[in-house]
Amino acid sequence: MEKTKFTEEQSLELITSMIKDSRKRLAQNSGTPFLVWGYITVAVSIFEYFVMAQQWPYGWTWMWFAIPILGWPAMMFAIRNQEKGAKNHIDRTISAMWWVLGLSTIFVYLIAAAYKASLFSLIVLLMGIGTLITGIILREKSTKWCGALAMAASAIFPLRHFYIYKAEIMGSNNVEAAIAYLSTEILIFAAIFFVMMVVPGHILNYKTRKR
Amino acid sequence: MLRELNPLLHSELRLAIMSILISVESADFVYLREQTGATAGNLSVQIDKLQQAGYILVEKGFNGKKPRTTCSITEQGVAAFEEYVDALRSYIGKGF
Repeated sequence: MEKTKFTEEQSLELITSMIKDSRKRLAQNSGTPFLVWGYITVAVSIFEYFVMAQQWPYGWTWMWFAIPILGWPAMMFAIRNQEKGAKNHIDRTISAMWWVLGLSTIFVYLIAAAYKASLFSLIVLLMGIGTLITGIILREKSTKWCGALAMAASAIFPLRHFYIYKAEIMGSNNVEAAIAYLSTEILIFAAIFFVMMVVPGHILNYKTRKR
Repeated sequence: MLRELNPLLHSELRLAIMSILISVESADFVYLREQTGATAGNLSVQIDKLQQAGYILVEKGFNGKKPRTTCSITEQGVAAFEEYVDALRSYIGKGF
């Protein structure tokens, strides 16, 4: 690129191709944060399912905190390895939104604990909102759909609570049924996270690599 | 009447730099070199010219222990780029 004189048409072509190439490069691996959080959450959830199903000591439930403890360093590592050399407004908007959502999970946790509300339902709703907004910003249909599906799926938890727990288990002293109910809830949570994060993460990375 | 094209932007490498910077918040020197395919020396000279014209802002810092030069477009640069594109449109509209 040493020339100084070129035609107006070439000039317009150059502007278009530079903007296009730069956008393509910055979009690369945009599904990686979804994969990091998605796989860690699914793995920890499956582990917790076994903790519940096998009736291991209660202390093992603290392993839920492995999600943020493993997630943040894994994210930092993934971001560092994908240093792109440039920042755009889209990246900044999406990462700011996820920071806010990530921080709000702390308050959601406190609210759920104080009011004995379903933490699974609230977390799925919050992360579903994040996935849907990311899809809208990136103009990616599959991400939008996965986010919207997750938001709708957050209703599964209160519905199960109303139709199964309240009707059949609450007050029955049936420990086996209560354990089965709770462990199934964990599996549903893991399945929703798989659809909400792992699936769009792979689709996003595949599409940006293919371009 | 055809508008005159800004001679500072009507140069392949300088226009490439401005086109990249208009679509991002900031970009480092390595990114610009890889995207434009220019040599480090030539890129450095053109960045200097754009900076002197007030079209871009150049910040020198560190990424860990490595030195890092980051460029971003200024408001004046955005205005000049828009004007340049408008002028180009007038050429293309006249049968180019």
